[in-house]
Amino acid sequence: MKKTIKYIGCGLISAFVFSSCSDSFLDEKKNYDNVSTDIYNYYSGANGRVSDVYAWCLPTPNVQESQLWKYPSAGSNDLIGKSTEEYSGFGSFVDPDNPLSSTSSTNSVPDYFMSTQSNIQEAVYGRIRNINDCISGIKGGSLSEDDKNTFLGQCYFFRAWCYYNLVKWYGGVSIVTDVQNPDESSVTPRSSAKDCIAFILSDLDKSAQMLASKTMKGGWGSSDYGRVTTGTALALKGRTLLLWCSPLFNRSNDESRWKSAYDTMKSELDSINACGYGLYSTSNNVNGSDFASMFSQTSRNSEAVFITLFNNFLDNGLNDTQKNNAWERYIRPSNTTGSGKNASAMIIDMFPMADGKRPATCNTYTKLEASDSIYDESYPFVGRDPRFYRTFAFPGFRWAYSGDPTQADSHNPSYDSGKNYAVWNYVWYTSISDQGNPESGNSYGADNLLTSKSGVYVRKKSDDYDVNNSPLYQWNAKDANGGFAHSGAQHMEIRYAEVLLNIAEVACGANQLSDAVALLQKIRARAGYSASNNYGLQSNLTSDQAACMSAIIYERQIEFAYEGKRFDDLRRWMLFDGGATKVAGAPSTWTLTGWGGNTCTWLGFKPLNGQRRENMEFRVADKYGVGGTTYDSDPLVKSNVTRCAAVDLRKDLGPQLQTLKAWYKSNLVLKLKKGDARNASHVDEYMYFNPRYYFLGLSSGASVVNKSLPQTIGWEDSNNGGAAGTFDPLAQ
Amino acid sequence: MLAMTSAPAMAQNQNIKGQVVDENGDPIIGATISVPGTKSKGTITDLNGNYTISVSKDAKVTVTYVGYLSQTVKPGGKIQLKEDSQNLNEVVVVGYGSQKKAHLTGSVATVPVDEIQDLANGGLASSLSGLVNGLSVSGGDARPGENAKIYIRDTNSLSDVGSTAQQPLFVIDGYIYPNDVKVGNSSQNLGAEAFNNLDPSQVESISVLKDASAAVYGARAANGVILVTTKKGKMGAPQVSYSGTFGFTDEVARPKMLSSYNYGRLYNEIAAADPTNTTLNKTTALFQADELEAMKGLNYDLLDKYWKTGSTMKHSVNVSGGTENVNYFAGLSYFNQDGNLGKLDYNRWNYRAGVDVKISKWLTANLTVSGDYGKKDKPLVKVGGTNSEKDYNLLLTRPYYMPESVGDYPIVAYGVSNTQKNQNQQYAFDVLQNNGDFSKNMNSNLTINGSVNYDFGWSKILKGLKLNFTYSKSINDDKTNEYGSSFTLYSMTKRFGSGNHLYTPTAGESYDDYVYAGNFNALQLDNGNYLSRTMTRTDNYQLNFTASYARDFGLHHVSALFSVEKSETESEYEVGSGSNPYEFTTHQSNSIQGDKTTTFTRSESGALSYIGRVNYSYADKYLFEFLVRSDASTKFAPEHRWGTFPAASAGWIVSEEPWFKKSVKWMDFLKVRSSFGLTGRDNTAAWQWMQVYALDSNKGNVFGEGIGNASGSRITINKSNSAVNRDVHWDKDYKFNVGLDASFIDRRLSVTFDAYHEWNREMLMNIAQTVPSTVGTPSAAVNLGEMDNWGYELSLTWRDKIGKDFKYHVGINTGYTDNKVLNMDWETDYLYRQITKGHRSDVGLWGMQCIGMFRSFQDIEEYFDKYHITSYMGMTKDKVRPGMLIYKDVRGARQTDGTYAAPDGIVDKDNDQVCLSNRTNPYGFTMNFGAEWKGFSISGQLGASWGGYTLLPSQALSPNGSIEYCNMPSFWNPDNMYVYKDIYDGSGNLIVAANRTALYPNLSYASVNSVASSFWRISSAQVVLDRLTIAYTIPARLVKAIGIQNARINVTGQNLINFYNPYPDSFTSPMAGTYGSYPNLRKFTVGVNLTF
Repeated sequence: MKKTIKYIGCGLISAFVFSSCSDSFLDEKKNYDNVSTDIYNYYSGANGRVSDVYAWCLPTPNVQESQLWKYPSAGSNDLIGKSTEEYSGFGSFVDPDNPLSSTSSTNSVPDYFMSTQSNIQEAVYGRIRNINDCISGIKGGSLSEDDKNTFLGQCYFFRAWCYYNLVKWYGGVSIVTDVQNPDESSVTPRSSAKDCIAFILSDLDKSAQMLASKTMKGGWGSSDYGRVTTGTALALKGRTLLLWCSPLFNRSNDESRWKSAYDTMKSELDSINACGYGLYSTSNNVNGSDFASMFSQTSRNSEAVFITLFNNFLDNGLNDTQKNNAWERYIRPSNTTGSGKNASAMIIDMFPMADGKRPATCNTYTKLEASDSIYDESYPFVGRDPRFYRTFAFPGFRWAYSGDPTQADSHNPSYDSGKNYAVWNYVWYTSISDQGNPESGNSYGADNLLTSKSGVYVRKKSDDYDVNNSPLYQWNAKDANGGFAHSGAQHMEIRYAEVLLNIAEVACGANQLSDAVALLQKIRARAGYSASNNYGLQSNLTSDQAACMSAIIYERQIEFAYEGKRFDDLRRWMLFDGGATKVAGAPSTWTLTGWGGNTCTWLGFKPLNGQRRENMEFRVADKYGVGGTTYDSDPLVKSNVTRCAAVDLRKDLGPQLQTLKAWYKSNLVLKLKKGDARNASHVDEYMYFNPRYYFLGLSSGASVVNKSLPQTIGWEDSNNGGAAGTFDPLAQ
Repeated sequence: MLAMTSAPAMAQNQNIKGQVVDENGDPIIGATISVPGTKSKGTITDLNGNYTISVSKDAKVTVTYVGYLSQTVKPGGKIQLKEDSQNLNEVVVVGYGSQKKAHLTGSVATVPVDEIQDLANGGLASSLSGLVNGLSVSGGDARPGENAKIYIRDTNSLSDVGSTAQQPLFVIDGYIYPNDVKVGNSSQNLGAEAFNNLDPSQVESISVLKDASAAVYGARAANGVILVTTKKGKMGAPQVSYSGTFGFTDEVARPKMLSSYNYGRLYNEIAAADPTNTTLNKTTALFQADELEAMKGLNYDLLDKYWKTGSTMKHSVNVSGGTENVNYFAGLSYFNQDGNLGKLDYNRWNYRAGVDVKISKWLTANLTVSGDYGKKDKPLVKVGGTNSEKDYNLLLTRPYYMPESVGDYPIVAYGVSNTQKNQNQQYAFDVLQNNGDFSKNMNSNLTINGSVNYDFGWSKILKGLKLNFTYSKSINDDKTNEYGSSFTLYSMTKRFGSGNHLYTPTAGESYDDYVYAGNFNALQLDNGNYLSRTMTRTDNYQLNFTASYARDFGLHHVSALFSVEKSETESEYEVGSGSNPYEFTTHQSNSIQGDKTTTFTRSESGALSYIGRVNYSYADKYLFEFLVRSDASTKFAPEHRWGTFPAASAGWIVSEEPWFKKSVKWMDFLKVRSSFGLTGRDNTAAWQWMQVYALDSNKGNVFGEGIGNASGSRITINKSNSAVNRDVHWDKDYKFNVGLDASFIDRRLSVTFDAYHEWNREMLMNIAQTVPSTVGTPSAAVNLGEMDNWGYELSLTWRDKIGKDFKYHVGINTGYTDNKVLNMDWETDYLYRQITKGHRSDVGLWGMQCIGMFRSFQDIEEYFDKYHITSYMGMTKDKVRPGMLIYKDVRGARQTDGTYAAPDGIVDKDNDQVCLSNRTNPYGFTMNFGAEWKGFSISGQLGASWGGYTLLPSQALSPNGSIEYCNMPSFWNPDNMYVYKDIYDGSGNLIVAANRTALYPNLSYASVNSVASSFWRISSAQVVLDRLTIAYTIPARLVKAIGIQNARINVTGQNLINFYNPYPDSFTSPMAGTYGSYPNLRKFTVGVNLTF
């Protein structure tokens, strides 16, 4: 026994000695969470990485106000939309009460430079880092040259896209082209606008060239549809060149810029067309139906040059295979389970009359001829541009869809499950004093709209059942976001119409006026105008450069209304003050010397600063008295007033509009309601866009983590105790 | 020669019988009787305290027993041992071994395990509060099954500088439970879990390593170490003990809320607050006079309806016994705590069985199997977010005029506007409780410990050397089943009252008026509408080879230890879920209509360590210890894997010096000791040193023609792991401690004092401030932080007897902690209220300085004029209204030179805050007291802290979401709130009178008024009676007859009395926890302890 025990003791000692030497088991431990840079050696891996770039960088119509740093505005009533004619209610850029600050977090200037620092996937420069990681990874990987080009071409496009969005706000930013070490010394100085634009153009050229072999034979194959093409790259290049020619960047109206841009863009149009792009149109355009149906295409859409695709999947609560376009639910009235957007009276008053000319009452675009038709604001829908009816919805207009809204609220009118839906958003008040008070919004909408009503609905980009008989949404009335939540409508960031209007504008700037007008005519033709009245265009456009430019800017405003483009145009052309106001501390090179020193005067455009926007509402006539607060207290219904037939855009409009006008006349009254704010003493306030906003300053939040970056001229530098900014984006 | 000298002694030996008893005359079992100066083995007392020893005629024997003072007396007769209040012979577990308490050189505290036996807590951590100086416990008093967290010596201040504050390391019976196991996307602290799941009756001792003595656990020891040893069998006949507890749990306090009527009036005051608003619809936007009248009689207090007194119970049965060669211990216990609200329930079984076998004189072995099995039921909340406090919060804040249902229609909590303001309004407690929705968790832990010990005592040379091999394995299984249904709530088109605001008839109306199908709109809602099952399994093992050596050479005592430790952990995680279950679902995936998904992940890690320790003492007076540990962990890159953690300590027992014994009579014991060493912290995500990409399935974008293409997958740079730092390595924490233990006046007064200083260096943290945003990503964790922490701990205990039967003790623990931050990711904004270099991490409480309330437009004019204000809380003058608080313009913006400009006319939260409290309560003490008289005893704990201020909870200052569905605490009495002018309803009735002298500002302007300011400041002083136990031990003679050796009953209360309430109208209590969340529970229990 004793011996055995001794052996056990010795055994223990030797086991002890041997076991204690090896630490090889530590090296065998693996990380099972993730994969390594090896992925770039595989097609599927590189493809997954490029998909990541798309997922973070593609624009979306679902953009919320708080995400405007991440996506361009898509036409919503966000702070950008509310800084244009399209929506009332001072967006922060035009708010006279709350000037933007670059030193305080109160009323801070929007931060489109950083926004979030901690999240590489979303941060402005995080997305650029992600793209740079892809570029270096793919370059260093072992894929074939052809595959590498396919992926790199897409990466370069998105890098240019990220920088384009920075440059349009800041003029000049840091150009980061590689994956930097995350430490304090990794500082990249701000480059001038000139260098930034050159960098963007070079990335776009690379992209266009690398994607040429894959996309210039009519675009991608059907399963890759939606990816960017040579045409997408060249279209963005056109937009960038136009930005560089615009007064914001081209204070002296250097004509050589316009000429060079025009030559480039004109010559590259063929390449864009080769990718399968063209102005969307059909052979049976009725009352602007082509203008409507291009937004409800499901397959290849020639209009869609830069596109984000969606599907109509329902959320299954488990995975994220669904990716829905929220626009339809944003704009549809609440009695169809949507939310509804309220158009301002200002833009309604600006839309052209049916002859293509501006209403005579419209006191802007004065270089353009006024229409001979009388515009009566009480019946704004009478005799307007075809696009007007596809952009707005008034009480008494059909706006059909497919789905039963009574499942969501039994008091919603069914209108044959939406198939014959007409919006009857007239309102009544519950007291006479409210009714007469322009500040009071205590009105109730008919057809169970009640308090969730809009005076005039935005209808642009809608999936109209009368246009598209196979809706893009999977109706689900009980969805928390309403029945239209699951729409697969495509979202177009760059439409072919913009490609043409961009060229038209540089043509005009290069004094090639007849080329410019020819392009304008194409846009007008698609809208429904014909050569018989010169597409509603006045004759001197080929001879008067200012009138021609004014016509192009007007056309853009109408064609792209509620597509998030207007604020960029206003800034590009400095239309808040004509560019005439000097920014404190700005060098002489900032002074606008081209266009007679004032773009507004030159264009005949009334500066937006000093104007205000109201809202329209059609309330029941005084004779019907006031109503109650519930769906069944409509004074018109109680007085047994019969509604006239709703206006059907598939039929001849003329007589229908007259009938509706007559019905309005006997039953409704236009009420102009307070749109933009009034002060505490109920006095009107007016838009004020401080000229220093044309180039945004770095917000205090962005400055704090970029200690070495200088502040833009005109803004206080929060890193230097509020000293004046020194960075000049326009430096040569 | 040897035989010759010993033979005569043998010849004169005689057998002497005797008995050893305690102070009460009860027999002491297992006391050791030895003959000093001889090699005789001695003997131990039997079950009746009796012994027989063979000694020479005049020999004396030494009687020793743990917890009693040793005596050397003549054998025979009754030997009465005295309790040793200092427990100097007590053996303290110190990690890889144990030491006599008197010989400790580090700051090692022990938990008085006896004092936690009567407490009815689900987790062991909450029982420890106030019992160990320097150990703080937070949480664990509210929801059943939710555990408290333990912090040792101010480790929670680490989070202030951006280091993840960590709990101490938990070591149970030598097994270091992994503290950071990656499971799915979260990390699990198995040590804290295992510790909390222990049953107190199975715990033999708990030691807390507070200083460099923790360095024996090296890389994970910087936050201190908690060492637990569980009970082992003791020699003697089988002994069975039972303890049972039964009791009730109830809220410490329930927030007082406004009555229906007052809520209605308050609502009107808020809605009509702005005198410039000319478009307020007085009929629809305000409660009308008839409605307010009816509201006087409405009291749908749903919290009161659903809150119930909960019950808790615990049963434990332990069996132990042993012979000379085999000892065994087995225990089984059951704990249950009912929730007070709905389906909350927690119960747990614990088991433990161990056997020690003496295979031969030199070879022993041990095998212990232990584990627990817990079940926790929670409500499933997926409506309007997943905040688990929603059940309590929304019941508490629901205005009392809203019933749960009208007729047979459960209603959605729409307020005056009759529209949805927030998804929380769709949370219907009764519907969700009764729909069968559940979240059920089952957790099982199994630990097996085996060890073999070999003693070289037979060898002359190797004598003193012992080898030990232990292997511990733990398996943790965790499973959560969830079911969320869909349900229907209704809104009413027309409601009662002249303004259409009530759900119940006003005078003159009847239910029939509006209760008909057409008046109700159905809302189809989902509480997730899914089924899911989550399973986790973690396997860990730890293997130790230890060689230890201890031998006396005359007065020199030398001991040494060397150990190799290897451990590996792997975890697997699997979750499966499916959407849209059938109404008749069996809760399995075979009754789902929608899609199904499965996710599974795995993680693994490993560690290797070498531990060495040498102790030397001379004459029990001079004590030295040196130890070193070397650790390797797979968390770090191979070249940074290894870390070395040395520590040294020394002690001097002054009272052992002859001159001391001679000259200092008033002091019985004095020891001074000091330690210094290095410990580490590895609180960082593993694998940060590799660039990795993650697959995000279905989160890509859609490609392809048509509208039926799923969004594809993408490979993304994980945002929390976006930057690589190959250089990350351990935190370093240098710990210095100096202490003294003393006792006075015949050991009645004992004092322990410790002072410490810690140098935290190379602390792991992420830096954000200094990396330019153009880099595109924050840094990976870097070893950046530097902080010094220091403090002292003082414990005083007075223990005495009055007369023969009355014994009492009072102990006070107090101390002070402070720190200084030397490096971190410094904030660069608003430096005047940020942590700055060289200052403590607790910057105190900052807020606006309130100098009154605007009571008229003239006040506003005057204020703007007087102080040249241009912007007030982001508003121009014309937006400021009477009823807002006035804050002082304290300073302007920071200037280039770093100073702040003079007041600049802009009042905002950025630059105008002042210090409202220098720091959270810096002072405090805990008093533990007890007394015994005959069989009766009482013990308790009283705590106090003071010196700081706090603010009223923000949820009480502004409605959570919207006032439309959120009731306010009672101090918002509408009579106390500012109202600019009389408010009339739609029919012209005066419903609220103007009140321009009110105490409180108008809630309508909560965005201005609810910001932190001196207006809402209250004292944060606290004085509470935490615990009290009254017990009675039935005299042995009464119970012996029925076969019971010892019977004791006790009544215990926890979270008992709060002596100071600073809240207005005492609407809640500081003891109750966070306003708006499940309150802390007061528990009353009756316990029985029986030993057979």
